[in-house]
Formats: sequence, structure tokens, C-alpha cells
Amino acid sequence: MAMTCYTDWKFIRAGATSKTKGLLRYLEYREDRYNHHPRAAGPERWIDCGLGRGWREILRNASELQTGKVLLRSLVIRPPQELVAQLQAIDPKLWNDRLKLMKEVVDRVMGAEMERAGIQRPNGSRQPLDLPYSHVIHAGAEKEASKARTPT
Amino acid sequence: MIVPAMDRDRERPFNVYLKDTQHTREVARRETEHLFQLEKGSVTAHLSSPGKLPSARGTSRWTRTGIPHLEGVS
Repeated sequence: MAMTCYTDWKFIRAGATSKTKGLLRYLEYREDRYNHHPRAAGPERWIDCGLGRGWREILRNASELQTGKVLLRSLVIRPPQELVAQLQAIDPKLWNDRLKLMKEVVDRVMGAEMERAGIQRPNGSRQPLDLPYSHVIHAGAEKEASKARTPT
Repeated sequence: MIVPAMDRDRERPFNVYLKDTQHTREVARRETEHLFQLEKGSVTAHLSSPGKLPSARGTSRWTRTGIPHLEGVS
């Protein structure tokens, strides 16, 4: 079976503040379309890598960095759930570390994106783009071990 | 993951074109495979005896429905 990883880039047009607010609140307060994430007493939702740790802060910072056409971009990464779910049986240590590993995947993907979008130096090397970002790991697996949902 | 449209210094835009999406997917696949140690074959080898393993059901609603509010790559 070929291993595949689902990724999806989207964007929100410049000026669409209300739409952006809806997206950020959706990510912050929902596990998915049906399951609500408790506003209080929950774990820290956003992992702040420079853009903010709450929808208000992220909206404000992204608005300041919008272009004439784009307000912000979003990326969903979903690992192959069937394979990751099997780690529970065959490698419990990796299974227990899956959220930490997923965060590392996100950081490495963003590192590669910054490199890709960077500036080519005269000597051939690249200066990475300095991009702040924030992300959420949706892990329904915390509640139900047989499901490994970790889109980011 | 939420990424702004420009870099921190507001000097350069961060663009994602169609050709870049394949690069993102390839990096995500490679890093997932490496970090979760899926390349060893230890996981995929078990696919031949799925009865011993947790169910693969429960795929994310995210990929079935997508996230609302968003538009495709520009």
C-alpha cells in the first residue's frame, strides 16, 4: 500500500474579516463539524509559532500581514490514519508520542515551505522566508483510541 | 495551520501556486513516514493481517467535508 498524506492549501481573500473570524473560531472551538471543543478548562488549543495563540490575536496579526489579494492561507495536513492507528498495537511508544510527532511534522513542513518561498542568494543558497504561523492539532484519538484523527 | 500572506517584515508575499501543493504533499509524506517510522515496513506489513489490528474505520470528517470558509489555492 502506497503511503499518502493528505494536504490542502486554501486561502481567504483580503478584507474578508468576517469569514476569517468564522474559520478561526471554527478551528478553535470545534473538533470537527459535529463535536464542540469546550471553551474553558480545555488544553491550550493553538500552538503559537509567531502568529498568535487565540483567534483574535491571529486575526489581528494576519490582517496586518495581508496582501492586496490574500488575507491568510491555511494548510490541512492529515497523516495516513489507518497506518498511524496501527501504531497503537505495534509501537505504543510512538503511539503515545503521536501529538508531539505531528507537531514536528508541521514544523518541518513549514520549514520546507519557508525555504521554498525564500530568496535565492548569489552563491546559490536560499534565505528562507521568515513566516510566523499558528496551528491546531485535532486529535479525536484523545477521546477514542481507535481513531487517529490529526489534521492540522 | 494558519499562515499570513506576507513574511514577518511585510517585505515578501508568501505565494502558493498549484505546482507548490505537490511539494508540500511530498514533504508532509516524507516527514510523516520518517517521524512515525512508517518506512520500516513494520506497520504496512501488518496490513496483511488486519484482524489483529485496530479498525481503520473512523476516517476524519475533515477530508469528507473539508473545512468551511475557504477557497482553493490562488
